[in-house]
Amino acid sequence: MASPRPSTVVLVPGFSGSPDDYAFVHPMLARRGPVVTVDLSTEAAGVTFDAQVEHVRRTIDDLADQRHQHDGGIGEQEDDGAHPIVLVGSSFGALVTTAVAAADPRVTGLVLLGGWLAPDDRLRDALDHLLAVRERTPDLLDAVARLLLLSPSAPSGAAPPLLPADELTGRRLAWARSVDLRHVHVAAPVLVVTGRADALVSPGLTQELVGTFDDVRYAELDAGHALLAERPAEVLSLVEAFVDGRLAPGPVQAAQV
Amino acid sequence: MSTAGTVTQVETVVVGAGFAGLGTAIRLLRSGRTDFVVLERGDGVGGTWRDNHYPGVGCDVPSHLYSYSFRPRAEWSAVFAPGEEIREYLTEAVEDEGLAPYLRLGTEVLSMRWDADAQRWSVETTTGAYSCRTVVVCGGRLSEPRVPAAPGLGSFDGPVFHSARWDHSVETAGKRVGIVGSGASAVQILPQVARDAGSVVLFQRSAPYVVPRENRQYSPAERRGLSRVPGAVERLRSRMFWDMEQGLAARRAVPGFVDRLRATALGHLAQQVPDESLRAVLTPGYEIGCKRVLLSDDYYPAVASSTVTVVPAALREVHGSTVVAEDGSEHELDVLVLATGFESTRPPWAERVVGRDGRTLAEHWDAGMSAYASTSVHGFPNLFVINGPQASLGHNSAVFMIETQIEHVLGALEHVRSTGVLEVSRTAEEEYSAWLDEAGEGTVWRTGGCTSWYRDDRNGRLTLLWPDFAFTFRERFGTFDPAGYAGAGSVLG
Repeated sequence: MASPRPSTVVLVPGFSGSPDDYAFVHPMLARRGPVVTVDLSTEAAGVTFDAQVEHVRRTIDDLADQRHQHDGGIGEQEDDGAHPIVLVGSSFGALVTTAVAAADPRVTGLVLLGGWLAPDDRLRDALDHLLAVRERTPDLLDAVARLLLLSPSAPSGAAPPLLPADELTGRRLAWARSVDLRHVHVAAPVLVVTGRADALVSPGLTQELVGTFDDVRYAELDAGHALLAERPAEVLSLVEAFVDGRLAPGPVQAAQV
Repeated sequence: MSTAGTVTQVETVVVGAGFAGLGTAIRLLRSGRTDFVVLERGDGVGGTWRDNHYPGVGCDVPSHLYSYSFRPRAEWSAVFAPGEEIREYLTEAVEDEGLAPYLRLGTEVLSMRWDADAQRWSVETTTGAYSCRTVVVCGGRLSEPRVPAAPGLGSFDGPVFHSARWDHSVETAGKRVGIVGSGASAVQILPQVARDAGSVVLFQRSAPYVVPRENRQYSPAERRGLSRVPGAVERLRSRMFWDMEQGLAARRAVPGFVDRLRATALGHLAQQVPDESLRAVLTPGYEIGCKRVLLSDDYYPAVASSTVTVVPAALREVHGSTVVAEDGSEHELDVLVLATGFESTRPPWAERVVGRDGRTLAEHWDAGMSAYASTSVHGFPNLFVINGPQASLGHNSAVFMIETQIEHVLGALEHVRSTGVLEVSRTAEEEYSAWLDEAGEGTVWRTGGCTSWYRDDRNGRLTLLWPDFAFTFRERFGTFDPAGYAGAGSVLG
């Protein structure tokens, strides 16, 4: 029997669409195995929500092709067909990855960082405000985003932008207003990570998310919505534990300090 | 505990009463174990924080994190509290936890020898002998001062002392003071001494990277708030820990992270040292993180003051009051301070530990320290080393690592109670070392182009360092698993 293949972790960014969201997590995850970060920041990744979902799915196809070739190709080695993929989606990226995972059996694990399935009034309001700021005073967008997406305990000072004021970011904010994934079914194990001080995603939305999946772990961090900006190392520790199969279903936590 | 003849019988001997030894004792006592003693050669507790009382001594990890998780303290005076406050914290722990009856101060271990027939350790000390089933060595890695082998040093005309043996009877005000070394201690000492010394000569073998310390006092309201709001100290500590964990990215030379850290340090230097030629002398010639990155806001201004002269060379020799540097320059001095670090990769106490085959631990480690789970050594049954090989960090709190090892050791001690003897296999120890060697590849500690206390100069290996996240050490070894002691890599991942 062939030894189990190591999972490839595919990281999907949030509203910015930028791989920079995973600037810390990607190279650190690469310590343990293959990692790919999807770039959704350009039009090449699609200009509709469904197209961006398709872009991620194609990325998985490409990975499968590459690994198949690496394994020697048809006829040279028995292919068990399994190229396990763990998808990690942050914020908007959680919507994309949930949609992919629901339709693709190659996804053997799903991590949702600050995710939700469909917006409530509060989230729609927040998205509307961000869209309005982007439209009217784009220079202020990142500052407003910081106030909304980071917890009050986050360190102040210089940091890479959370939310660029470009057109595609605006589209992702708008798509998030209308996408509704409450009907989806994901068979793979899921890890939901949320920030206790998330001003965007309410506890109710998080509970709905946790309640939707059959095989789910749930972790709450002392952070706001932008978990990757505020607690990247803690997120990393949870993702690693999940990928390694060390998290049993139910409430989980990172190392206690 | 019982005394047979002149030999005191005890289940566990803990050696050392610093953070590791006291932490072990507290956790033993809290878990209901009273059959142990803590042997301490000094006349008080505190280890590093008892020995190092030089002017300006402090820790470069925030105090809320550089303290026991099981003894949180809301009253730290500052983000980086002074060393004296850390020592007081440990003294307080002894009082609060009722450790005094278990402490044997002024008791230096002369030898520890495994008695295979009795399956016990025989421990000879300056105050009597002990026989015990298990030994937990908490000797510390900053406990044995390293003194340069410069000819004539012993006959220097004035006072000469190591930074960890500071002689407070020596007046430095108005004097010509030499400081040898430019590491963590020197960076704290120099600004204090330079305040009123007549002149200071800094002998710098290699320049350190220094980043802003940005220390500040906690206000009384902040301290009271931390103590009154449930969970506030724990949340602060957790935030500090996970923030510091990000520092590993720079140590693993991840572009962007290492570049930002280097830019921060060089920007700090440029801002505080306007003179270009001095700045060149103070600019390190290796990658940041290769040596410990130091934190100070007053080091560069002091170095740039008219009182201080930087000699970019090590000490060569001493004639009377003339100190000669490796660059040939000669300096007339009244007082010489050796801020030259510690014997960390070759702990002298290892020469006093004799294992199952009659070999000393120093002999076992003659090609560099190693220990499975950074704790257990093949050939040395029922002996556990905390804060020894491959347990130090370059980016986070040593106390977190110590606590992880303590929990591992508590599990091991329980295991020994039922099995009698626990010895790690040679395979497990070697696999662990090989795995750590691999994990250390590509890090700035290996590739940064420096010599440092993290690396053993005998083999270039990172025999002191755990080259990964602190949380991974906790995940893998915070819970004792006897399976790992057999080898075959079951817990290495």
